[in-house]
Amino acid sequence: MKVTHILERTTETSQFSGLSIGSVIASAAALLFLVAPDIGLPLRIFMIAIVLLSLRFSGGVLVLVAVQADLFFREPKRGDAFSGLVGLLTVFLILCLLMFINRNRNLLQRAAKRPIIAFFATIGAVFRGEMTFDSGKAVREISRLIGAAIRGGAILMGVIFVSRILLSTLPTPQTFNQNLREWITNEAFIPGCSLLLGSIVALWIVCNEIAWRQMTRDQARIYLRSVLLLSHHADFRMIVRGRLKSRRKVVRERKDADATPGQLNEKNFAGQNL
Amino acid sequence: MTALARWLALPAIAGLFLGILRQQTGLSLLSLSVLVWLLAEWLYFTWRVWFELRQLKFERSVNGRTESSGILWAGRQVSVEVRLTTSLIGIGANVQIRDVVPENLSVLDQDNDVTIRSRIHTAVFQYRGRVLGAGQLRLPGFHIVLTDRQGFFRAARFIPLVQNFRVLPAYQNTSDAQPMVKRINSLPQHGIHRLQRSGMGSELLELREYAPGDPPKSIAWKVSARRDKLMTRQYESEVPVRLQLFVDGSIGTRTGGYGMRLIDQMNFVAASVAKAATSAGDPVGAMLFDERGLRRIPSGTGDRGFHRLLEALSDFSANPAPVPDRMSNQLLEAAMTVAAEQFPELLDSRVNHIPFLLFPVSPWAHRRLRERYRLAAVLAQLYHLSPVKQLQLVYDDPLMATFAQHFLSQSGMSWMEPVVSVRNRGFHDGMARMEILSNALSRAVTQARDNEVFVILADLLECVPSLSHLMPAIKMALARHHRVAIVCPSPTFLRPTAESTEIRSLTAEGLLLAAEQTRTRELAARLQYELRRSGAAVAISGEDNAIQLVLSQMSIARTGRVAAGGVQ
Repeated sequence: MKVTHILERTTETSQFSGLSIGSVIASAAALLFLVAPDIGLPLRIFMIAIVLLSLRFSGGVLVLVAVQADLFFREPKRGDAFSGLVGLLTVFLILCLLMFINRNRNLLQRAAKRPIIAFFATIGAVFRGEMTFDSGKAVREISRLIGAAIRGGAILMGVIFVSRILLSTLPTPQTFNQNLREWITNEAFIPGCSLLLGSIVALWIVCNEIAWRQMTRDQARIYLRSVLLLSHHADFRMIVRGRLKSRRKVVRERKDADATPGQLNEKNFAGQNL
Repeated sequence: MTALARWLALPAIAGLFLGILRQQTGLSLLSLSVLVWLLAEWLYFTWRVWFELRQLKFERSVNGRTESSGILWAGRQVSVEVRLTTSLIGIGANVQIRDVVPENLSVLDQDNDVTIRSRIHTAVFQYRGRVLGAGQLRLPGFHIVLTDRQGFFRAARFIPLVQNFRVLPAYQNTSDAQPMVKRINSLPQHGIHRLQRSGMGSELLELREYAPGDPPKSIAWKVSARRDKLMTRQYESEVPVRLQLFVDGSIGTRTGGYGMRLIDQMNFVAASVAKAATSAGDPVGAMLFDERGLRRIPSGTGDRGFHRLLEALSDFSANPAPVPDRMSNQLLEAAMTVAAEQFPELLDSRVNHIPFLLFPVSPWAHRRLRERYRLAAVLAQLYHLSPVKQLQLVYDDPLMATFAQHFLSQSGMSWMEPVVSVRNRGFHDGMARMEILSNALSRAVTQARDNEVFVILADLLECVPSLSHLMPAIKMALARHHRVAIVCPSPTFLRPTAESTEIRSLTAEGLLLAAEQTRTRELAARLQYELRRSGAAVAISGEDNAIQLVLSQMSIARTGRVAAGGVQ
C-alpha cells in the first residue's frame, strides 16, 4: 500500500544540521592536517583555515586540489603504495569525504548567512530546553541519512573499482611507444579500431536522437526558431533596423510638421487659388 | 552541470593527466575516480530527469475545490492542497517543488515551496495564503528543480496546472446599517419624488393575492372574506435611495502592487457601501471608467445585484492590456524572472541559441543583450511571432516593453513602474479623466429617476488643476437635489491629518512617507476647498470614515432633509 507523505518546506532544517556542519569541518580539517606534513605548522593552519572558510563556496574542490597537490609532490614515481587494498581504501575515504562535504554544502551556506550570535543563541536555547527535539522526525532523518550513506558508499566503491580497471588499461609512458608501434604494424587492430570508432559514432547519434526526442514541443519549436535566427541573423537584423529607421523618420517628419503650425503646406492647397 | 561539477572536473582531469605522465598511481586513481564518479552521477541524474520527472502528476485543490476556475474574495485566506503522484518507481530525493503563485496571492511562511527528501510515490503538501486585491488570480503550475545529492547537476522544469479565479473585492459589513423606518417625518423638498415600491413600511401600496410565504399578519381578512380568496396587503417601502458609484480605474490607480493599489481602496469602499445599500433594499448601480472608456452597470437590488456589481468590479480591477510606454531594465528583469520561473526549459541555452555578438563590449550590457535575445525567443514562442518580429523585440524598445508588460500582466503581476504616467504628464491625463467623469456624471443625472446618491471614487488628488472640468457636472447634480460624495483614495492609505505628516522615524522610508503625506495633505486641502464650496462631501483615503460618509449621505437622501456638504 502506498503511503502518502507530507512534504516538508524547503527552508526546513534538519535537527542534525549543527552536528553535520561540525562533522564536515572536523573531518576536512583532519584530512588537511595529514596533507603536507613537511610544511611549517603556522602555514598549514593558515592554508587549512582558508580551505575551511571556502568550503561553502567551493564544496570539496579545494580539498581535492590540496590532496592532489600533496600526492603530486610526495607520491613516489612508479610507487605501489596505492596498488593494493590500502590504496583503494584511501581513495575511497577521500571520495567519501568529498561526497560528505558536497552533500552538506547547502547547510554550510545557510549557516554562513546567519550571524554568529544566532549560533550561540541556538546552543543556549537547546541547553535551556526551549528547543524541542522531535524524536519521530529524528528517527526518520537518521534512517534517511543511513540509507543515503549506504547508497553513496556503494556508488563510490563501484566507481573506484571501475577506475582501477580503467587505469590498468591505460598505457604508461614506457609502454606507450611500444604499444603504438605494435598497433601501427599489426593489421589485426584495424577492424577493432574501426568497430570502436563506428560504435562511438553510433552511440553519439543514439544519444543525440534520444536527447532530441526528449524535448517538449515548445522546446523543439524554440530550437528551430533559434536555428533559423542564427542562419539568417544578418538579414533579419537588416530588415528590422530598416523598419525602425523608417519609423523614426516618419515620427521625426510628423514632429517637424507639428512644430510649424502657422506655415501653409502647399501640397494641401494644390489646385486651389491661394 | 553546475559550476561545482565543472570546478571538480577541472583538477580531476589535470590530476589524471599529470598522474599518468608521472606514473603516480594514487594521483591517477583519485583523479580518475572523481571523473568516473561525476559520470556515474550524470547517468543517474539523466535517468531521473527522463523517467522520474516525466511521471510526476499534480492535483491542486483551492479551498477544497479542484475545478479549473472559481471565485475567491480579496482579503480572505485561501487554503491550497497539492497532491502529487508518481509512477510505480516513485521519485527520489532532492526535488524542489514550488507552486508558482501570482503577485495577488501572499503565501504564509513560504509553505508553497517544498522539497522531496526521500523516495516517495504519493505525497501531499498544503499552504495558506491571503488574496491581496480584486481582479484575477491565476495559478499557473509548478516549478520543479531537480538536483543530485551533491549538487553537481541541476534541471529546472515547469509543469503547468492552470486554475483561474475571479477575485471579488473585499467589503465591510457596516455595523450601523440604515434603519428601515423613517427617522424624521418631514416632507421632502420640492422636486423630490419618492419612488414607490413594495416593502414593509406603514403606507398601504396595494392588495394582491396571497402567495405562500407571505406573513400572516399582512393578510387582509375583510377583503379576503369579500372576494372569497386570501388577499395580502402590500405595504409601501421606505423611500429607496439609488446609489450610483463612479469608479476610476485609470493607470495611476492600478500601480503599486496588489492590495496596495488605489483601486483596491476604492473597491473596498464601493463594495462596503453597496453591501450596506443592498441590505437596506436600495438599488445600486455603477459607472466604471478608465482610459478605455466608460462601462455602465445597471442598478440592481438584493444579493444578486450586489454580486453582479462585485463581479463587474472584479473584472474591472483585472489589469487591462498594457499601454506601450518605455522600456526599462527593471521591466526586462521582471519579465526574465517570471520567464525563468514559468518557462525554464525554454530558456535553456541548448535549445535557445543566441547568435555571436561582438558588441556591446561592456560585459553588463552584453549580458543584458543576451538575456534579451533569450526573452525575445520565449515571448515569440508564446505569442506566435515571426522570426523577424522576434528579432524586432530585441532592437525595438517600445515593442519589447509592450510584450513584456503583457506577459507580466498575464502572469499575474501588477503594473510595472515604467508604465505609470509620470507626474508631468498628470495634467493631461487628469483632464482626460475629468472629461470622462464629467460626462458620466452628467449622463447619470439625466437618467436619474429619483433623489440619488452619486459616489465618486476617483484619484482626484493628482487632478486638482483640472477640477474645473468636473465642477459643472457636480453642481448640476446638486442642483437636482441629488447627493454627491467624493472619495479620494490616499496613496499612503492614511488620512492626511496633521499627525500623519509627522516624521515617525529618521529612516529613508519614514522620511519618504512623511514627505508623501505632506504632499497629499496639501493636495487634499486644495481639493476639499474646491469641492466644499459646491456642497459636495469629500473623504480622503479609503478607510471606514469614507464608508460612513457615504452612508450618512444616503441617510440624508433617504429622509429628504437638507444638509450642507461636509468634509470628512
